[in-house]
Amino acid sequence: MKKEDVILQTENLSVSMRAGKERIPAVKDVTLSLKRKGCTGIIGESGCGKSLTCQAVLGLLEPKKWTVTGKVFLEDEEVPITDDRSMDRFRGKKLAFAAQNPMAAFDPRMTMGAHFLEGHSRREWDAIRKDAGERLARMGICEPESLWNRYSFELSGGQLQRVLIALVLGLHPKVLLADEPTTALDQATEEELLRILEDCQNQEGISILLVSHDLDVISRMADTVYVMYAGQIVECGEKEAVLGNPLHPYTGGLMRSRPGFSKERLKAMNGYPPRLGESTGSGCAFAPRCPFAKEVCKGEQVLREMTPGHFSRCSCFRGQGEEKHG
Amino acid sequence: MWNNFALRQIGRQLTGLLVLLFFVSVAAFVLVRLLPGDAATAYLNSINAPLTEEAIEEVEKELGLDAPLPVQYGKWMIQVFKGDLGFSYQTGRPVTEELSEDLRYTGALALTALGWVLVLSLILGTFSAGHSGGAVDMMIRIFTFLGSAMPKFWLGFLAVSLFSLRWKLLPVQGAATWKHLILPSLTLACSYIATYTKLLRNSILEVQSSPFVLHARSRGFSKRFVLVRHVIPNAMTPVFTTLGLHLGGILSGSVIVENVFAWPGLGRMCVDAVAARNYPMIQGYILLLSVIFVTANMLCDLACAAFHPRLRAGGRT
Repeated sequence: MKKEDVILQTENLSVSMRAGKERIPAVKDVTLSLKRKGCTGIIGESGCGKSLTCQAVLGLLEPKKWTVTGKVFLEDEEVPITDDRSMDRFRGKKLAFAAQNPMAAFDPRMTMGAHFLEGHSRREWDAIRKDAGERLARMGICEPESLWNRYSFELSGGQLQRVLIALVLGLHPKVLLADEPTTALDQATEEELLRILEDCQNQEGISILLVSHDLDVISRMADTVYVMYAGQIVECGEKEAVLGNPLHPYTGGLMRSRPGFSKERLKAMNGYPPRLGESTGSGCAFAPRCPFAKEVCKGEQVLREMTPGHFSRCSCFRGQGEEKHG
Repeated sequence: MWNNFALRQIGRQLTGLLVLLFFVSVAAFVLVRLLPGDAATAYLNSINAPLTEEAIEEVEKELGLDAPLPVQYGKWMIQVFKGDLGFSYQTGRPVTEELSEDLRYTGALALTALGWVLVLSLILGTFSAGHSGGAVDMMIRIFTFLGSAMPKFWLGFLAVSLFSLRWKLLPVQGAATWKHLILPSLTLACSYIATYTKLLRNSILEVQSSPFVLHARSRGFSKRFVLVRHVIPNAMTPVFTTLGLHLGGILSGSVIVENVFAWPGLGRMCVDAVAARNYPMIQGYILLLSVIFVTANMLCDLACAAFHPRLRAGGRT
């Protein structure tokens, strides 16, 4: 990937939770990049640090509770993620955020319209209202005007998710961080939302960092995929490479857990990801759940380039060929 | 939707008020007469007249206390509906006149106390939440603990001995100027400030961790802006709900404070009236307070609904 094609880049981003004097690592050395007008997907089970990574990039983690280290660059400019005051220049301007649960993302005391107008002077109101109406209409909301005076508890999850996306796109960001945008939605609404995200990528040139635990969503949207487990990136590369030929047993496990149309029984992975603060030793964090675990897995695992542009943090698994025999 | 809701709500509360007033009037009437000692004896004592059977009978006849209880109650009720609460045994003036005079003083005291409660608990609660876990938070929490644990009469004496007697900053007692209002209202407000500071602190911390606050921050609004626009308004909801219940407490709590500071309000009047077995005054006081209590509750419910659209929808989710 050429440097000038990259719009957002994190370098060794780490997040740890403060518990008294102790620091419990939650996200470890995440280095990832997002192409201009591209879509980078982060996938992993719940509790493996995806949302934390997102919030760390936005500088939204309370310094009282979390310690964040590492660097984030947006178009060659360093993003001051640990300086709350300077971050107000980035949040809602260059970086926008679509939260996980649209039901809870709106102030219950404010109408939809008030959310759009918040922080703007009275002179701009008409223009904003017109702009928001057009945007909502493009998103398939029939009567945008009727939503203007409604409260979040009066709308459905699908409507709210669309209003939320319209709200943050109205800020004209360069990068949209979408944290599980489809979890609260049914299949049909999910499809529609993904189409909306594709539109804003193609028509408005917005780059998307998409966090999801849904492989279908990732494989449809992303060009680059990062697989996270226990706060680490365990595999990354072009979508075709990672999902077509997973080189880490965890990715393989995720893909086999995906419900398909075959008559084969759904193969869920055994066990659960380690909890925050649960020691995984120095070795591979996935080893306790891994069917291919060997003695070498107890040693430290590094992210290595297996084939050009395709990285994996596993030293013994060599792709599907071995899986079939193993 | 909003008007409809408000009207329905007010209508329901007013009906409730009438029913409640009936029960309160019966209870007040009966309880007052259950007090040991009787009005005639107390009256004769107060004018230093000899306590002969004849004199007592004469006074009872004069005050209408010789009739059977239901008849007395009926006569009183008819008067009440005419807007007449009778005459005070002690002064001979109409009860309504006396009550409205005293109510002005108690009202001033209670409203000032309410003002202290709202302003100070908002400031302290916000501060405490903003520095949760820190030294400031700790100090405020110790204050709220002491404030809610200290009895009002003790706090009142303490305040007088420090601010009035030792430092001579404020008057000891009476109600001549606005300066006289400061100590009694603060004494009355103190335990409520403690309660509401704590309530607001926890409420703010809870609201602060909700996703819509995070999302507002992500749209580029500063911490302070989000605190003022989103966090505090949402955190005020439990304050309004409990305030309705506490208003009665603030009004009746003034009995002790008014006696400590010789404040010529309803509370002091009530204590005097009880001592003199001044039946019409006691009954009038109880009726008046119940009307105020219910009205205050109603106003609080409405304020709550005006503040929180979800409650306006009448439980619709």
